[in-house]
Amino acid sequence: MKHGKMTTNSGRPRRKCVSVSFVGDDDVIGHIVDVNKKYESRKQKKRLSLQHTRKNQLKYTEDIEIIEQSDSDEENFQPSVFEEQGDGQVAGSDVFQFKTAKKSGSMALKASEARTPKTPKSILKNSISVSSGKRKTENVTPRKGEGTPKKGTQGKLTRKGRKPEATTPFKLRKRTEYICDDVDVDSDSSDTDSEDGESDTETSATPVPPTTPRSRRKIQEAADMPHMVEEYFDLHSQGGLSTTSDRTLAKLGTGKMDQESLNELLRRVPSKHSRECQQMYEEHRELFHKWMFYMCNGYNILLHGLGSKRTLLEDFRRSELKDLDHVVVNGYFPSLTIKHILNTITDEILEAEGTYKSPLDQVEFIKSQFETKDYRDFFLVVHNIDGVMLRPEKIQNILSLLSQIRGFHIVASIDHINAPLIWDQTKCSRYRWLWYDVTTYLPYTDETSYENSLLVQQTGSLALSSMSHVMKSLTTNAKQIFLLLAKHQLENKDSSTYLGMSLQDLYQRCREAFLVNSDLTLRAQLTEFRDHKLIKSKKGFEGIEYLVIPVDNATLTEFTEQHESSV
Amino acid sequence: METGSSVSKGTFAYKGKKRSIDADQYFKRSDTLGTYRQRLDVLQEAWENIDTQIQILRSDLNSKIFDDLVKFAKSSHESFTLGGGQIDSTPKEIPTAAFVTGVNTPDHGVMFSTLVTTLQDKVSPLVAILKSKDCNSVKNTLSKTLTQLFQNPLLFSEDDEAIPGNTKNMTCSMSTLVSWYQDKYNTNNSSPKKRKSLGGGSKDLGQYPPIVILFEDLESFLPHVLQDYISICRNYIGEIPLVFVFGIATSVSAVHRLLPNAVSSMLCMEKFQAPPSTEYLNMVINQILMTSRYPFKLGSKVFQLLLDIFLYHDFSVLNFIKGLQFAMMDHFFTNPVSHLCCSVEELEDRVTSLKPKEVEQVRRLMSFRGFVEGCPPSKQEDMLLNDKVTKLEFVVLLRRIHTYHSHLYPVLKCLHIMVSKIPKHPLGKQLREVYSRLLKSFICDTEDYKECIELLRMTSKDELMDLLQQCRSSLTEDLPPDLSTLPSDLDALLDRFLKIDEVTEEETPENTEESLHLEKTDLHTLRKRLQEEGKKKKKLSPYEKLRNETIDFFDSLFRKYLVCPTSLPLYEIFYYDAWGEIKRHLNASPRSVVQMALSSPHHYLQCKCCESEPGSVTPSMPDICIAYKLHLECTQLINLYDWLQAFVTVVTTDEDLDEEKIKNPDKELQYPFTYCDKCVQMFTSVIRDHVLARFIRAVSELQFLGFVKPTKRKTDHVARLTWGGC
Repeated sequence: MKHGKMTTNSGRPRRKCVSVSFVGDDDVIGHIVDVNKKYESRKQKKRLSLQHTRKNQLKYTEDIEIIEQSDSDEENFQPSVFEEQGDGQVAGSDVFQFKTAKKSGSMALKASEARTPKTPKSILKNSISVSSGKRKTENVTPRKGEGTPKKGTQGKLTRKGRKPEATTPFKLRKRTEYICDDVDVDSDSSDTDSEDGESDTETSATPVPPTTPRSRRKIQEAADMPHMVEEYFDLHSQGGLSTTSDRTLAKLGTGKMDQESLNELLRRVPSKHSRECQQMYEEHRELFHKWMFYMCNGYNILLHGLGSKRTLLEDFRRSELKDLDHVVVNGYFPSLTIKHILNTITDEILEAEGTYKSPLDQVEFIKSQFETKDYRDFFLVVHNIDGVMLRPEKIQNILSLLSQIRGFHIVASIDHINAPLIWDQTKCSRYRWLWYDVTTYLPYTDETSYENSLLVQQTGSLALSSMSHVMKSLTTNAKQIFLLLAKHQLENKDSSTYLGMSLQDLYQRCREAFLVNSDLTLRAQLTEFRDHKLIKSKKGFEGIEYLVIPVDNATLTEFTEQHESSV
Repeated sequence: METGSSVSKGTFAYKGKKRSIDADQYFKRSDTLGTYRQRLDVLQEAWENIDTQIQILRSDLNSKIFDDLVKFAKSSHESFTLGGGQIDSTPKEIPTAAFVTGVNTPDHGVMFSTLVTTLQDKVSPLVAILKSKDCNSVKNTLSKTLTQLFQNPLLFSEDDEAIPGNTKNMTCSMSTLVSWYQDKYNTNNSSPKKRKSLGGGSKDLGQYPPIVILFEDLESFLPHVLQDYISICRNYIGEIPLVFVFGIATSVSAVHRLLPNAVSSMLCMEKFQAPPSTEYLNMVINQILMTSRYPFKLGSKVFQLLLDIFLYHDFSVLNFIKGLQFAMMDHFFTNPVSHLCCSVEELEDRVTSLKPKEVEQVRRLMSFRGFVEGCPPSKQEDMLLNDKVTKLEFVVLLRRIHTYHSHLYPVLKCLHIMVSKIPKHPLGKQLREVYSRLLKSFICDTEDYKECIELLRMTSKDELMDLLQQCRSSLTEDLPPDLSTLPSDLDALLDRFLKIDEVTEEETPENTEESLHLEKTDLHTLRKRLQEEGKKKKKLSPYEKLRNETIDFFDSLFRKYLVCPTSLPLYEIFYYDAWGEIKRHLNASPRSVVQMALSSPHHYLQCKCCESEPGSVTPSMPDICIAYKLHLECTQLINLYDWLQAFVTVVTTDEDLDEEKIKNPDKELQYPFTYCDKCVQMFTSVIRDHVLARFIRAVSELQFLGFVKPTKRKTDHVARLTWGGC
């Protein structure tokens, strides 16, 4: 493409083969990069724009015509599976893209753009540099129409050697580029940025009259292609680490919040758009009877979309399933196993007791219970069927087998963007899903409460309770061994080089306290700890095994205090 | 009971009083006109009919390949005698059928269960089916085989055997099977009475029925398990008649990939190819969608979408049928007058019993409005106001659609036969492609159709006669009265073609002579010249005349009957074309939905405040959207501190400060007037905590959704997991 265009510009003798390569490139690149962009608008529009391009190019090369014809033929073929939904679905090409280069300041820049006419002030900075009062007042007083980004970012920008033109609006820059129409993009340093901006606006903007800009875009795009490929490889060779700043959260000067205070704070934050959210929620509620109808006909319901669907599902459960047998599963629960689910069904719903060799065996049992007796309906409500504990293939296999049982219905929700990958073709068709987009914008309060969030200090309440549970079932000697280990770890909590207690050391001490009589008994005991994930072992430099309790010190202190007295 | 954030339990059971639900009540709730009962009845009846038809098709489809398999299983151990193994010590190979089933794995379960029953009926009661999910070790595999063989209900019609009871304690080994088999069939020889009772279910199974073991999904078995299992079985092949059937989804070479040469040499394989699923699909389309028996039809877009899902995603007919069922349910669920979508016999009753409201509803259909506008003005008034007249008109119109259907399909098949051989297939190769074009628009007006007719006018006699023959033979079904003369017309044409042979004899030399004149030219100019000469000559040969006549005959036939259904008034009652519904519910893309919600919240919230050009951030957006949009500006790693700062910049505006003032009225007075360090500090710390909390929530939600994940490569950084988006 680039080649073809160069010839026309520089006036080199036109050759027929040039025009052939023209289409080839276009085609190939179209396939690699953004084939869907072309299909974004309806076909008619596409044709229209194509005609425009054709006219445009006819000016200099007549012999392209025939080939272009074949090109448009090819474009006519577009299976409807891949067609976008017209009304506001993101095109596949927008969702799946390559990594692109970003300058380190672009986030701050974007943030400041969001409020350009308003006062730029960083309260965080205030809190850090409280002492210098002057700057603060300066920050708080409104400075209208200036729109400068924050000091820090600006400084960084200049440090990185960006041209001052970087502050000109994207659109302006774009326009200038169009005007100069220079093909040799490599020389333009600010090119990457404008390209990003351009693709951002261009891809999802409502199709403006597809006259000249469209055709120009085609030329422009083609000129960018080889450059984009180079950029891709450049980006992947450098590792990507270099561009982030070195600042850490310690600069904030405050410690991490814990979960409770966070929840407390969030409760007081007014939610935006609560009216609109409520409206959406009501709309979703109206689908309930439809879901029930489809479930009667052997389909299962899968909810997706942004926002917590817990409330909606609970609502559904309360209003529609209150008289029916059902089991609720919190898929996001961190220690959920398939056995729990199956046991709940067999023990509490079917009220059958028995031992099962394997989960599959249990599924068989459930199946026979449902299918040999008279017809009954049962509902399994799964919040987050894509939860971490439910992701393994085996578990999904079992769930999908359950869904095939007569009278067994599943209502589930997914949130992770890659959730559908947990099902292969066979499982998907076993489930007989009907997908429903129920975007709610509600916060994921319950779902994320178990997740080890990055910024939240872990209180370890869960770890503590599980430790206590295990502890209750241990023999006195075993308890003592564990406490010995815990105390040793607490004694060394300040040393940064502490690796753990060596096995030899532990054995020695246990012998002294008459807790074990041989190496073997100790090891047997440790295996039990390890099975309950109470301890971890690491190999040291010398090949000696070190034992550590993987909980934070505060929890451990509390734990030892609790148990010191009891033992 | 609250199920939310329990720390001890993840599952909660609730027992209800009711045991089952009724589809009625849910259907009823969507009702606006009181027609739900009728609609539901029509739906259930229609679906039952279609479902049974599908079942029939399924068994028809595989009958041939199953027959072959049955024959193979029967013949493979014909000369088997008990104890033969001991005498003949040379190792034999296990007869194995490599059953290539195709990649449409979802359909295989049904297929294999039919195969099992067929084999049990016709070959031997001893059939075991193994699925990879139960066979993760040799022991499991063996026990699965043995329990299936021993617990076979076909064998124990009489209670003289006690084996099923003790299978659990029994050691699962091949030798158990051997002794069991020998016990069973050796004694049979001596006591004919017992033998009779055993063979009761299956007629002539021979003295020693073979033991057939099916592997449903061979590719997913663990190689070492499979190898060991086969080696073990091979050791006993002299003592019991074993037959394997491998279900292979890809190709036979998969066997060689799974099994080393040493093992695969123990098998004597024969390949069986199941009919491809496209054949099944064609059958389903031909027998269910393209027939006047079932009034429900798919519209062009939905039909195309379901086809594309089939062709581009899974090749699974089950999923196609699932889509069809969903389309039907949605049609009857959403269209309040869809109960008119019934057979011709019931039509009149249904229409006359329409209530005024329902009539009004039908009048509102777009196609009917168009129809009324085309009527003379005097009639228009009656149509819109007089229910009686309108009802009569409805009957006429609906009848017309029924007759249209009955004409359409035979003629469409003719069209397909005529055009399917044309080079480059302008109208498509398959009948379904031609059909989908017909649904879209009036097919005779398309360029492709004209091209086809042009090309047909150039066919040779043999080809044309062949096409006519085929058309003739496709018209065997009972035809509607209007078309009843068509076969005889075709016969007459064929007759004339046959006779023409004798007449044209003398003219042929002239033609050949002429063609000799031509110098060496390319095809293009040759065609042009020939056309010119054809024009010049004016006088056509008898064959050409007849050919033109034939093509004209067909052309007028097609033009008369192959009308686009959307051009008929009231077609909405029969045709379901809610493409978006199907796409959203059967072929959804959750990720693009999430990304859409994040990048342009106004699309969902439909509020003015968030409306902005894509890619930009406004403070009014939900927190998670702001965090998301900011994170798009980063490379692989994101510095949390920088992210937080940017978030704060966006979120805190003057209004926020104002809000804060309202909440803490004591500070309100201080703020504008006395401007001291201290109050600002307090101020900001309150806001900061709030904003920080919101930021934490947004980030952990993004983490939950899978956009970022914690990383240890740099302190206080997270890694980005997606690219793209705006």
